[in-house]
Amino acid sequence: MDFASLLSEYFDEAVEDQGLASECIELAGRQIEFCFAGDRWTSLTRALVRGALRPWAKPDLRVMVWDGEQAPRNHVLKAYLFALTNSFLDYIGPRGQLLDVQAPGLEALYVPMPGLLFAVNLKNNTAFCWKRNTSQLPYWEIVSPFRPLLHCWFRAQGIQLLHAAAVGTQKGGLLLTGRGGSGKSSTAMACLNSGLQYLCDDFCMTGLQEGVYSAFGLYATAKLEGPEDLARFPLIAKNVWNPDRNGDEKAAFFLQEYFPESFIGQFPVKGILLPVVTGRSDTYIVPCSGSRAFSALAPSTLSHLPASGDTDFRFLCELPRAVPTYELRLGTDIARIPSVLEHLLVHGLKAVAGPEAVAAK
Amino acid sequence: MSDLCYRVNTPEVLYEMFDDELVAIHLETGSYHSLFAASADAFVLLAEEATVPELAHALSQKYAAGADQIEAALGEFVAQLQKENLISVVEARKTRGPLQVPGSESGLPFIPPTVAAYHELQGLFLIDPIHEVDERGWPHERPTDDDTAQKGG
Repeated sequence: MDFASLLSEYFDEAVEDQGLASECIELAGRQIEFCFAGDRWTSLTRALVRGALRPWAKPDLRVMVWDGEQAPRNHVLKAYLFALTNSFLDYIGPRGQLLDVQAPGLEALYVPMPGLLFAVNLKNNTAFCWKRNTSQLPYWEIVSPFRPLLHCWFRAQGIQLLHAAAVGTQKGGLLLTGRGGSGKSSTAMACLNSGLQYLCDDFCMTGLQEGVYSAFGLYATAKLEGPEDLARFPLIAKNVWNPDRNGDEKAAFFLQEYFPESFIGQFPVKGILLPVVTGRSDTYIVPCSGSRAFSALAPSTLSHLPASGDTDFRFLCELPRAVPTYELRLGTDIARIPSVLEHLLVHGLKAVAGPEAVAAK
Repeated sequence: MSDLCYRVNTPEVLYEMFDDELVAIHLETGSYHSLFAASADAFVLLAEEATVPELAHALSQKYAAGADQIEAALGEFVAQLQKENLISVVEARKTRGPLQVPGSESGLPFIPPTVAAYHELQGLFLIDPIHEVDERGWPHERPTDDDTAQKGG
């Protein structure tokens, strides 16, 4: 029996013991059924963005979620999982890929912290998320769950996960990319009560549809770091999910629950912006090279996706060539940032935008 | 050293040209690199497998410097690429035609090749067993406050 079949059998055993809970969610136009053994992990779907409900057909992907509270009956799988979780350095590659589990159409990896096994069987569109024990997950797995698994499956659908924030309207929107602390989350949050809608603050999906790159929502959550950020967004700050967080933990928000009207599910991508904090009061936009946008987008995206490889890299090379790329020189007057972005979207992205053209005066 | 043949460490190393800049990413170290002009051309040639003299000869067709001058400048560059694990020595050379430097220009100013390396994302790329364990060390897990309940919901 192959690895995916063994996992499927193990999940069925867990369901037999703990019962089945399921939820269907549509992401990027694909219908995904999340099936849980018991109810311990059902709240993980809370972080996924909710769109308009459509009648359900056969799901495009079925995700099975359970944990190691009970061992598998199959002795081979039991021995393997014991060895994997207790001596993982012998069983996984540098990025977590399972060294002894390789089969056509199967992507499998283990993340030692927090002990999550992800596997995607592309042949029959089933996926597995198994946690080695029942201990709680770190906050980042709660606010952005199933990421390696969704990355592998959506990549096979031609849809790429991106480390980027995104804001816009039905007519078009902007990706904001850069390393942590560059200002992309703050920029996205600043748009919550503006003429622009919010797609994400950290990770979104992008795919080429009829010759146009579109961005799709993935997580309905947001994160802010430090008291300054929280003070800057008091409306959001009062809805913090983890007020008793550790010192190294960011403040997290299930944003769509509080600002449902501000969310947008998808839009055509009209540009990539690289936020840069300037210390000036005004915000303005200048063009930048595709290589700069690539360097901001690709390494951070690839680093957050342990199963990433050549396919992801090629997608990330093409995107900055296909859409205009800009540097967003962020001013200290945050309230004015959305109007600058709107100005850029409304007054045409083909023209070269400079400080005189789009500065918020 | 000059007789050693080198190659780019694919598939771990991925690279792409953007106008005059080559960006390379090493998927197993998490480092990424930026190369321009002769540096970028040399890197592309190394993907074909090349010795330092072969690189120098090919680059001298495009840049305004003699092969000897270029070869002298390449030593440190190749050492840097090796240090960054972007290239390695070829044990058994493949058969290929003469090296063709990219582009049709000639007489361009020669700037000794260098590679800009960025390592700040390394911690995100690789698994990190250290932070999973307590003071007893791996494989003992760090205890959690609540071993059964899941936060949130």
